[in-house]
Amino acid sequence: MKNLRPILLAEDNPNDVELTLAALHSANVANEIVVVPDGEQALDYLHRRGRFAGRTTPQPCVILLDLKMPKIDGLEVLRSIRADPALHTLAVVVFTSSREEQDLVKSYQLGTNAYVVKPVDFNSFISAIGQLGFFWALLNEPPPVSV
Amino acid sequence: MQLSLERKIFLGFTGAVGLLLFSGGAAWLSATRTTETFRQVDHTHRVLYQLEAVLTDLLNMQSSTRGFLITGEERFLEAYLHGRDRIDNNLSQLANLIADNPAQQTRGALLAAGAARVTGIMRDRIAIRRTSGYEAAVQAEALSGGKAAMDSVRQAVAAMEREERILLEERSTEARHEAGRTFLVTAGGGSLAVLLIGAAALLVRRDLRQRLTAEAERDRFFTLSLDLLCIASGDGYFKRVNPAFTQTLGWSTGEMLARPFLDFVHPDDHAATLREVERQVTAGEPVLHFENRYRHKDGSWRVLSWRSIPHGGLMFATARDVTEQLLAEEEIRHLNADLRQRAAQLEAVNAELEAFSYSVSHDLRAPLRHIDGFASLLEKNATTRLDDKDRRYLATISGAARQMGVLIDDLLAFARVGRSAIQPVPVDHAALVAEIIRTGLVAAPQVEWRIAPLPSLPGDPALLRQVWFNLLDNAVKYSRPAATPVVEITARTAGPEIIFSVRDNGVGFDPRYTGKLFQVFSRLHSAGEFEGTGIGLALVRRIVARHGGRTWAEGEPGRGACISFAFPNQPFAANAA
Repeated sequence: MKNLRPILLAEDNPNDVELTLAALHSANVANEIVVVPDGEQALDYLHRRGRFAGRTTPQPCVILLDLKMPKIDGLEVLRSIRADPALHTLAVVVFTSSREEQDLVKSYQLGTNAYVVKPVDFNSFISAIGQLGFFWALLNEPPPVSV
Repeated sequence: MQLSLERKIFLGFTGAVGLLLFSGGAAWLSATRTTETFRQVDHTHRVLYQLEAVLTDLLNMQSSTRGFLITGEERFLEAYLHGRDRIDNNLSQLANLIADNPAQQTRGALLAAGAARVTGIMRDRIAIRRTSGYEAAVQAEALSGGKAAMDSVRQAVAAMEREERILLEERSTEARHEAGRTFLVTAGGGSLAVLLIGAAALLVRRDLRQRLTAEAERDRFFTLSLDLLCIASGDGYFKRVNPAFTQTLGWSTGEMLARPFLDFVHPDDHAATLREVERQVTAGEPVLHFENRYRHKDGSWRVLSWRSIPHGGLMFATARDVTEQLLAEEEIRHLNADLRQRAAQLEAVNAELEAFSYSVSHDLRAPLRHIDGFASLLEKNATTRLDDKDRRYLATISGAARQMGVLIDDLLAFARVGRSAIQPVPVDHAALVAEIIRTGLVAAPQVEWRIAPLPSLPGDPALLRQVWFNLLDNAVKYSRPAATPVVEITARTAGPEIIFSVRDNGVGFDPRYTGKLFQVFSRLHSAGEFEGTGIGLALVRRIVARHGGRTWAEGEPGRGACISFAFPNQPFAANAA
């Protein structure tokens, strides 16, 4: 296995966090999963500041980004990442309950790499997470200059 | 050439006067000539008289002379002496009378000579009788040629008389002709003049009648007009108002004319009214649109809309009572404001609904996911500790959560159809149906499909795909109990519509509940018999309606169902939500 880059999971709902972790686990994703409960900490992690000031790990191979979060919501985080030259090549997957067209449109306008609706059916959920993990953690080659 | 009536009348009268003048002149001329003729006739009579007088004188003198010759008595000479005194006078008068006629003058000279000779012979014989007596005088008589002289006198007189009588005849004839002509000219001219005057009088009468009719019509126009018509003077009074004033304002015509019109105008409108009057009276400008309030006799105010044109120091104005109209406009403005407010409210409600559905989409699904997720995890982790009953419970929990997830998704889809705009493009229904069946979205290998040719129509491909999917899914679902499920898809043109139908040979439905088929959450079968959320057909109806079409269903229990939808057979305008 290559030097595994972490997966950043920005998700405020602990139930969703637990289910996602379980799903990633059952999909045999071995990458470190870093969980942040809001957009502010997500950006702190990426910028290595606040409680992540001393972080030495590489930047995540993918960010699973919930849209509805306290403080700074997912779309704001996405906008901030794409506006930052140091971060703008990071892979971002919007992972949300919302099927709303406006969310879809806005996410793609802001430059998300993918948009996945969390299935209600747990089996579908596990399958979706597994595919995400497989694709972004293993299959996808990140750009060479990623920080 | 078309002559005006006035010109015709003028020409008629002028012609008549000309004719009268002409015939008068002709009559005068004729009378003058007749007088002349009568004068000449008289002249002739006088010539004849003078001739008779001369001849009589001579005959009297002759018989007087004979008497004296026979008797020698001087008293017989009285007539002779008397005639001798007169004859010259008579002859000279005759000469005067015939001075204009050279032929008669010649004859007159012969007469005078003859008369002189006769009187000369008588004088000689009278002298011989006196000096020589009777015998000598008789002798001398025989020698004197007295008879010849007298005969020449008679001849001259006769010639002259003949001449004068011829003249008399001529002049009488001339006078008769003249009188005839005069009669003709005067009678003809007079009759013609009478005719002309008559014609002119007829024209005048006709013109007068037309004028009276026109005047009556104008008056009727004035009195019957529903608009207010008036003539107002610059001094601030109405000169004339029509009955519409009374009908509109309640005041009698007398009351309207008795007071300055400003008395009727609302005090707040005085200045503006005066300004409009001033503009007309001084600048001569017409008023094309002006409104002011007039007091009705009942004390209310009526809004009058004026148009007026000044002429000769007067204002000729029309007005209309626009009070009701203004009220109606006010009402419309109110309604519009209400509508705007209602629209704003609706927009707000819509926005709220959108926020609501967003919230449903996002927040309602999360707990369901957790229920299913943790139930699944529990089942996996505790698998050895659970008995069949426990597992059934967990399966029920998961199933209920998933069912609710589907319900939420369907509801959101249903709500979205009402919101999103339709972008019509040509949609090939045959390809759409084939694609749905082929891709296995309707997993029904045992179904026998009977698909008629289907047309292309404008529409929203994604939404129409949803329509076909729901209908085909239903048909497969409800025909499952049939031994050999058959689903038939047809399209036909009926008048202005194209009708699509999906017919199955499945369980059908009770026609009494046809109305419920298309209602949201309304189901005719239990979830145990046939799975479903009760939204499919409601969604179909909504999408078809958004395309300007309609939907209906026919069926009988156990004999299958036929769901139809119809689109207008023409391109429809895209309607944005």
